[in-house]
Amino acid sequence: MTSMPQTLFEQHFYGRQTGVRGVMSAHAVSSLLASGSSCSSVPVEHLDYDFIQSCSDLKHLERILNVLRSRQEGFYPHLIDFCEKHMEELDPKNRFLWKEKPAATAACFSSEEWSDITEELQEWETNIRMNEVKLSGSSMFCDADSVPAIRCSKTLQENIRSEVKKHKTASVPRAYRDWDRFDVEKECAKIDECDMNPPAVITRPAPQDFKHTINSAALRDQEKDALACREKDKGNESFRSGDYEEAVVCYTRSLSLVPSAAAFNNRAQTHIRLQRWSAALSDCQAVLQLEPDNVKALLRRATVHKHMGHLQESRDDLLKEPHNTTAQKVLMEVTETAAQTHQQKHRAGRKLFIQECDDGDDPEIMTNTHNTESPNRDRSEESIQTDRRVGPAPGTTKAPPTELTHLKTEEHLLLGEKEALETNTQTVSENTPAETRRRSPSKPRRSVPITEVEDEEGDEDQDSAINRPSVSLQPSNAFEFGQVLNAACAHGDLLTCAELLRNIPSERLPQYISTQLNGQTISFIIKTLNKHLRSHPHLLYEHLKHLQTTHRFSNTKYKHVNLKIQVMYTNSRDDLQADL
Amino acid sequence: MTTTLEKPQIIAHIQKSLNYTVFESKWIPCSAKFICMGNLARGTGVMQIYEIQHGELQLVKEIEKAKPIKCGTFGATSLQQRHLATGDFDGSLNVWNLEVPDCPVYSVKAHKEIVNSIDGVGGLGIGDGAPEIVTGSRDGTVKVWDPRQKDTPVANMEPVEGETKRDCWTVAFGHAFNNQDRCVCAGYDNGDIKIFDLRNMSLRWETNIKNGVCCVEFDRKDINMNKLVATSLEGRFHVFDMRTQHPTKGFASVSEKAHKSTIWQVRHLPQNRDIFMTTGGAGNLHLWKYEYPAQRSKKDADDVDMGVAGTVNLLQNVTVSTQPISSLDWSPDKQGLCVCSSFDQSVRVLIVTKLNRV
Repeated sequence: MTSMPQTLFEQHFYGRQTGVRGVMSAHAVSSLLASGSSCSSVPVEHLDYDFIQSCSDLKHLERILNVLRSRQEGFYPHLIDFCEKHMEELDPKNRFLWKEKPAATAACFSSEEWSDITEELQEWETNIRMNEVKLSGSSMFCDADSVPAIRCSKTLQENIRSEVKKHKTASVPRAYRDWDRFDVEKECAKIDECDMNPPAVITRPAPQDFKHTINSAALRDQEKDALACREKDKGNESFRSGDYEEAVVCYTRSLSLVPSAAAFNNRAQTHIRLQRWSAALSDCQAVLQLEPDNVKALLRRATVHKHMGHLQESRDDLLKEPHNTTAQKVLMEVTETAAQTHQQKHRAGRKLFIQECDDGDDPEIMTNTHNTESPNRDRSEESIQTDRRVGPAPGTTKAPPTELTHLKTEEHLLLGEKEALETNTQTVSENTPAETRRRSPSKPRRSVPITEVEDEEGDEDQDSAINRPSVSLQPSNAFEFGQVLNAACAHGDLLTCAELLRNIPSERLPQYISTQLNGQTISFIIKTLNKHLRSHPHLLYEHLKHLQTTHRFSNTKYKHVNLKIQVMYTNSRDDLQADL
Repeated sequence: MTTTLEKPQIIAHIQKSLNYTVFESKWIPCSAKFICMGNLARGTGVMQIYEIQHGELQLVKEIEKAKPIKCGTFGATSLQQRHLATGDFDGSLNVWNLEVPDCPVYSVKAHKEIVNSIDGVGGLGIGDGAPEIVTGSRDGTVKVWDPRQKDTPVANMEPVEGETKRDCWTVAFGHAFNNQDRCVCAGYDNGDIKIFDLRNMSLRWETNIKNGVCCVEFDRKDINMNKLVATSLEGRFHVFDMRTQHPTKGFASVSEKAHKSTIWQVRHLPQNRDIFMTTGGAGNLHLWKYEYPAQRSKKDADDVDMGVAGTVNLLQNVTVSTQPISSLDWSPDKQGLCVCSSFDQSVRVLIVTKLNRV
């Protein structure tokens, strides 16, 4: 990282830094730097491209930047830019990168964008002028009764302050003689008294303090709409900050003025977060009465049904929106739960036949039941562990994937690593029309025949070129890859990502990533590679090699990402060469 | 990681040079007009109403008054009436009907010295309860007025006899989520921030942020107190999380240093309470977003609730002037449209883009 401290002063300074890290702010450091005239803590050797490139200590980079900006050692604008860019890669939100810049003008935008902005403003101007005319045109009547009475007047003389002052005068005696006057018993009693009256706990306003309806008698439609909208916005804000109770109140108030599908929808979602299923259900129904095609309402109702156990209704709702990705995910969960409950009903005495058969041409599902373990069926990506891969939920399979994995490992041990790479496990097909997680083999595979089989129709995806070492995330196209990656990314699940990357061939990586080419995903992938795939240097090397060749990476936007990948690539290449 | 193109952009849409020192500019609700208040060279007060028409500012009305006007608010009037409440250099509080500006609707000699700051609540559909106006003055007092009550304030927060009077630089209403509850927050020149509870008529909380408080604002007036931003001299502002009050430690806060000079104003976006803009003494504007922490409250050593402050991120910053920007106001009708005035005798209309994608 940084070179060893060269001079004695540096050592001293670094030592101090580590000692008081967190106490010394960047500002303090910079002021120190400024004051330390000749003995700068940053040696001149550090003001160098290579050093800055290799340095990843933000604090040190900040110091370097300070020295460069102060021009003590000379003015190197290009070096300053380079340092800033490097810092931005490491920490985009660093305050040292804040720069003064002028306000944007028409010149900063493309002509379409600028015309969009000006047209939007123009439209708003005309609308608001119409509204204003409407507002002033109608008769103004002041309903004095609806406005609350004048607050009873009182002068707040800050009584508390004076009390505090009195208390302060009775402080601990300072002079020696005062101690004679100090009465121990009285002080103790006072302290005890303080303890007994704990400081008044300021409680949050009770829910009944919030009014759930608004008196809209005195308002006209325009005002009602505006108020309802405002309440809905307030509800959204409360929802975003996690205050669900408050959000419900705000939405209720909005609805008391103007019933709107959006407010009902949002309130349904809040009820779902609070796990009030029946309330959520009634709100969803209300939305669907107003707008029968409202996608969000359908999805939310499906979720509610799922949690209430009405799996069939849930599926019905979800099937109305087959193209929605969220719907598909929820549908998988629903079918899984259904399968689980079904399996639990048929618990007793199923035997497992372990047969090794070569079913090269039968791509249908072969699943099995097992009577020992009830696997962890939680389909959600975040609960996946590296050794327990939950297979995708098929229509009505009862597969205990964990057991299968155990079988797999046994088989692997039997066959040896190489052959295991070629074995395929089970094929799962689903009822959903779009993507499926296919394991369709066209190679000989070990399968365990089911006692209960259900053949599902589904899309065949004969992408057999992909090696599938285990029952796991084995995407067969860019979309699936994208889905899993997005889910993993959203949950910060590096393990899933690692497994994913392990299972796809490196040559395919550019193609798969092409749909997900944004900074967040790329950095996530890099993180995973860095963390988890170090044990497979060869794989890492291949991945990085192909990652670099991804189309659009040459784009300047991603130059710094590309740079990072290159660094890792060279490192891994060195590692590999070292191993060989 | 957002690219520069996804960040909100602050566009200087229109700029107009005026011939007077402008102290405050405020949007007239439900219109494309705003009003500028200030001090003419001849020592009289002036109010000018401008309207945005086809990318230009048209002067609609000019009103001259005897005393220079320091601050104004539309907060306590109804949407139909849209009366402007102003505080002037003489310490008077006046409520004007802008259609008939000759005679104020309500007038009172509120303070002995200049009214530094004014705020209103209960009007425009914001805040249930009676419409009230609060004024803070150099004479150290903070008074709450009801336009229906003549001559005497509804509440008066003044220092105890014998105490040195500290200039009150800023006032703000908050916590007005039902008929009775109201809180007034006042910032003083010695760094004191005090919150007065008008329901109980008591001091609810006070603290000191070491530097004079230039501006305080609650993120929304009409909800249970959520966040309070206080800006001060020497380029620092604090964001307090007002949901959990610890009996001794008070409210949790996060502070940020920016602008490298006095932060004159802070204004929250009316359409999103987590986005706010601060204006600086060097003519710069910073747009910030507050992120909530995972848990907004935690238990301390004695198992008492205490708040957890979140983080503040800089979304965008621009410099529009060389002089301090003394006032900023977001349009309540159009998200991203704001008007700001600075001491270089100019007023600017700015557009902030992409706020709905933040």
